[in-house]
Amino acid sequence: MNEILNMTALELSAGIKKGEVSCQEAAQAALNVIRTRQDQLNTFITVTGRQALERAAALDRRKGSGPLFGVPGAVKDNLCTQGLRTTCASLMLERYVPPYNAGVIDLLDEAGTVLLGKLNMDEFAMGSTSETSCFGPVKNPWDLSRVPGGSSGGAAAAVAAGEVWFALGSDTGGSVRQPAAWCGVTGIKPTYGTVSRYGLVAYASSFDQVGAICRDAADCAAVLDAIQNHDPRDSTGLPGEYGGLLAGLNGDIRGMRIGMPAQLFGDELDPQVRHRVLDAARVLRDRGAQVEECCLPAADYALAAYYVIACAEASSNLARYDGVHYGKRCAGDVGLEELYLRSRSEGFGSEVKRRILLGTFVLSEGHYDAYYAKALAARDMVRKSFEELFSQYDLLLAPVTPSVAPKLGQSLEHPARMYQTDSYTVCANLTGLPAMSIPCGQSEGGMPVGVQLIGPAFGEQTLLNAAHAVQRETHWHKLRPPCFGTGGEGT
Amino acid sequence: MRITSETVEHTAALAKLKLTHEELAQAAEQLEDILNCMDVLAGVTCDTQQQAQMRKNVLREDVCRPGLERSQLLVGAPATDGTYFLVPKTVE
Amino acid sequence: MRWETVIGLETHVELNTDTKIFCSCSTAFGAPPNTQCCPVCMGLPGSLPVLNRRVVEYAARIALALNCSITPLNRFDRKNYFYPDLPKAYQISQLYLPIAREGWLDVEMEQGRKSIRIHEMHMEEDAGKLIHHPDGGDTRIDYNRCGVPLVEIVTEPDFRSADEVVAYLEQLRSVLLYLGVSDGKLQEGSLRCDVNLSVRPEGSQTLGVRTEMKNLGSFRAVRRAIEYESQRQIRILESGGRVIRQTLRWDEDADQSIPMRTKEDAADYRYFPEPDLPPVELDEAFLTDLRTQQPELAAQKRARYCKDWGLSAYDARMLTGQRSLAEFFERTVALGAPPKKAANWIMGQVLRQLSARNLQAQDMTLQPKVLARLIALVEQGRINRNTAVEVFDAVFDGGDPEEYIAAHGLERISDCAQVRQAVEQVFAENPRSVADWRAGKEKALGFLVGQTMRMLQGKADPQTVNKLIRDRLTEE
Repeated sequence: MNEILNMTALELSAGIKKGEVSCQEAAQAALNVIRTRQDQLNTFITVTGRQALERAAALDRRKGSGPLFGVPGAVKDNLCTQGLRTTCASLMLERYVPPYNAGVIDLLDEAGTVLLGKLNMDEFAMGSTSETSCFGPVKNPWDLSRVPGGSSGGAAAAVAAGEVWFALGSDTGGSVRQPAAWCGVTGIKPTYGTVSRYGLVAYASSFDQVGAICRDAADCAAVLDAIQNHDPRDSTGLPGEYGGLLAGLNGDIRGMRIGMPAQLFGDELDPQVRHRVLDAARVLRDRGAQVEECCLPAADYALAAYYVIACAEASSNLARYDGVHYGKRCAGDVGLEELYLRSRSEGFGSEVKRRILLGTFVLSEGHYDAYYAKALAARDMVRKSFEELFSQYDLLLAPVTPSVAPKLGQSLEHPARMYQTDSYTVCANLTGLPAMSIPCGQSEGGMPVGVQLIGPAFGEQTLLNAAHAVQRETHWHKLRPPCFGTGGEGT
Repeated sequence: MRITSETVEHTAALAKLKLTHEELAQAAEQLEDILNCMDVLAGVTCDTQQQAQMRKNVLREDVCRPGLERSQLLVGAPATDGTYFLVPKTVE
Repeated sequence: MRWETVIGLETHVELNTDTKIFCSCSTAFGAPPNTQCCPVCMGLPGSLPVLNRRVVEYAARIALALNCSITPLNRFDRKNYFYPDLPKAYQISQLYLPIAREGWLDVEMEQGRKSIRIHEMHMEEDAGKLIHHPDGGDTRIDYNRCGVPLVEIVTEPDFRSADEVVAYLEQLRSVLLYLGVSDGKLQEGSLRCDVNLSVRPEGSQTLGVRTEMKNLGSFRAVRRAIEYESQRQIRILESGGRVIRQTLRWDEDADQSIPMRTKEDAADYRYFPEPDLPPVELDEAFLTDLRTQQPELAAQKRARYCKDWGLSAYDARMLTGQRSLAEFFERTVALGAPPKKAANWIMGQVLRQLSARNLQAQDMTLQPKVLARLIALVEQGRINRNTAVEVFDAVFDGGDPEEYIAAHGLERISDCAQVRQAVEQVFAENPRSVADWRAGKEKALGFLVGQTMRMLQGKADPQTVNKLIRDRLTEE
C-alpha cells in the first residue's frame, strides 16, 4: 500500500491511466491513512469518505486524460464547497454550508481529481502554527510535539503524512510556504491574480492567494496548470495565458541569475536553517545558475506593513460574521447590540479577535495616517525594491522561516514574536509575486528545513524549473516522516 | 505607542467585540507590543500610492442572472420565518 | 434678531439599471422578499464584487449634467458599520476618490435663477430593507434592495429656504429623468434626501451647528421638515440654548423631527480602499463619447424653444415639465406643426386629457403624427377648431382623425351657397332678431350666427358665417 502512497500525483495518475491502480484503490488507500492518523495529526476537519469513493468509482468508469486524473486531494477549509460545510476552523462557521463552489473547486473537479475532504487550519487563516483552530491543533507528522506551521497546516501535514497526494491551501503572509517548509513538502503561492479568489473566504483580500502543496515541483506545476485561470467573478484576477507549466518543466537553469537578499538572512536566522538554505543555493550554482548576495533595504518595513494592511482588511472582511445572516448566533433572547457582541465574542477565537482589534485600531480615527497610510506607502517601497531586483535577477532565494517548527503551545503566548515568523514570507504577499518553498534538508533534530524561491510576476515557470533542478539532484523532498502512511507510530 | 484598556475598549466597541476585564488588559499589553513593532513605519517617507500592476476598469455587463432561491438563501439563517431574515427589533 | 437658515443637501439617487451594482441580481421593484439575492449581494463568505459597467456610465452622465469635474482615476472604499440591513457590515462607497467633484446646478425660481454648488458625487450600494413589527416583535429583513446602485450627490450649504431646496430637487429630478438614469420617484425611494440644516444671525458669515435630518419621503415632507427644524433651532438659540450636532429622523405623521438613537461609539466608519475592486479610469475618449451622446436637458430645451420657436418662458417650462411631453412636442413640430400651435394644443388639450385620465405623458398612446395631422387640418381650413377638439377627444386613445371626420361628416362646409341658404332660412325664422339688430341691438348678431352654425351642425367656419350674416343685414 505504501507503494501507492509514496508515488507523486503524476506517477499515481499515470498508474491509473495504465490500469495499474484504480482511482478507488488510491482513494481507499488514502482514506485508510486518514482514518489511522486523524486522531494523531488532526489534519482534517471534514472527511468526505463516501462521496470520495463514489466519485472515484465514477472516474474509474469514465477514464480520462489529464495529469491529475483520478488523484485524491483535499482543500483547506476556507475554500467554499457547495453542500459541504466550510468552517474556516471557526466556531463562527462550525455548521456553515455554502450554496456555491469556489472557482478552484470547480477547476479541480474538471481536472478529474477526487476530493477527500476539508483540511484543518488556523482559524480564518490567522496564525502561523495551525493551533488556533476550533477543532484543535494540527500536529507535525515529523514530530507530534511540534506544530506543522500555518495557517495551511492541515494541508502540509496531510501531504507529508501520505494522506493525500496534493492539497490546496491559501497563502496570505506565508501560509502555504511556511507549513510546507516545516512539514518537508513542496508548496507554491502563485502570482496574485492568477488563481481565482472567488469562494476563498477572505482574510486579507489584497494578499490572499490560493496555492498548492505537493510532494514535488512537478506535481505543483500540474496543480497550478489545473487551477490558474482568469475568473470574471474575481475583479482582481489577471487575464493571461495559463497552463503549460508542466509541459515547460525542464529543470534547465543554466545562466539563471539568482539573488540572495541579505536582509532575509538576518541575525534571527537559526544557523542550522542558514546552512541548509545555503546547501540548496550550492546545488543551484552547481547546476549552472549564478548565485550571489544582493540587497533589499525595504524588507525592513515588510512585516509591519503586512500586519497593518492584513489586519485592517481582516477587521472589515470578518465584520460580516454578526449572527444575522448565517453562522453562529449567540443563545438567548437578547437585543440587537448584545446579539452582535455576544455572537462575535463567542464565535471568534482569541487570535482572530486580536487581529480584528489591531485592524480596527489602525483604521480608526486618528490612527489611519500613522499606520494604514504609511503601510500602503511601505508596500509601494517594497514593490519598487523588488522591481529593481528583478531587473538584475531571475529569481531570489531566501529562507522560508528563521527556524524549524517550534513545539506546540510555544508561540501562542507571544503574538508579536509569532508574527516575526512571517518576516521572510510576507514580501511575496506585499508584492503579489509568486514564491515557493522546497525541502532542503533537515535540522540536527531531524526537522525539515525549507528554502524559499521568489520569482517575478508571472514567473511561475522559472520558479518551478529552479525547484525541479534542485529536486532532480537531491533526495530532500523524498524524505518521509516516521508516521508516513499507515506504518510507524510517529514519535 | 501606549495602549490603554480604554483604547482597547473603544476599539472593541467599534469591532463589536465584548472583552472581559482580564481580556482588555491582556489585549492592551499585546496590542502595544505589536504596535511597537509597527513603529518602524514612521520612517516611511514615500507617499505615492499607486496601485502597482493593478488592473483598471474591470467591469461587467448589465445583464440579469438568477441568484439564489429564497430557500437556499435562508437555509443557514440563524432566525427566519421562511420569508424574511429576523433580528431582534431595531430601534431607529 | 433676524435669522438665516443655511441648508446643504445629500441626495441618494437610485439608478435604473437592470442589475445591481456588484452582481447580476435584478433590481426590479416589488418582487417577493428575498428573491433577488445571490452570494455577492448577501456578502456570503468568499463572494466578490464585480462592478456594473452601466452604473459607471450613468454616474458619469449625471456628473456631466451637473457640470462636475470628473475624477480620472476613481476608486471605491469600504464604509464600515454594523446594521442588520448591511450584510457585509460594510458599504462599498467612495470617499477618497469619488467619481466627481465641484459642479453646479442652476435652479430656476420665481425670484430668478440660483446656482447651487455640488460638493461631490459618488457611487455606492444600497442597503436592504428593515420591516419593523408594529407590536415590537422581531424586525424582518428583505435584501432585494441590497446592492441596488446609488449615486449620492452632496451640495454645498447653498440653500437659504425650503423653496430653494424643493426647486433644486425638482430640477435635479428633471435632469435625472431627461438623462433616463433614474425613475426619480421620491415616494418609491428612488430619490431620497437628507437635509443638513443650521441657522445663524442674518449677516453672519460663520455657520451654526447643524443637524442632519433623514427619512424625507416627499417634497411636502422636505418643506415641512425644513420649516420645523429651522424654527426649532431658532427657538433654542433665542432662549439662550445651544444646538447639538445630531441626526434626526423626520416623522411625517407626527409632523416633527425625532432624534435618532445616539450611538455610544460615535460614527467612525474606518473608510479604507476597497481591495476587491480595481480603480475605475474615465479617460477623455470615454467622456467625449458620453458628452456627444448626452441628451438635451430641460433647461437647454427651454432656451431653444424660446429662442428658435418664439415660445414664452411659461410655455417652454410647461412643455419641458416632463421629458416625454417635450419629446412629444418636438416630434409634433418635426412633422410640420407650427410650434406655437403645437404648444397650445399640448398645454391645453393634451394635458387636459392626461389629467382627466390621471396619466403621465410617458404612458400616453397618442402619436405625434395624429396631433400634427389635426393641426394641419385646422390650418388648411378643413375643420374648424371646435370640430378639431371633438376629433382630438375621439382619437386620443387611438384612431385616425381623417377617418373619424369622414365617418362623422365633420368636414367644414366651405360651400358659400350652402351657408347662404342657411342664413336665409335663419333670417326667415327669426325676423324679430333681425329687427332687433337693426334697432341697434348688436347682441342679436351673435344669436343669428349661433342659429346658423347650429343649422350647419357646427361645420362651417364661424367667421364666414359672421361675415355673410353681416353682409345680409346691411344689404337692405
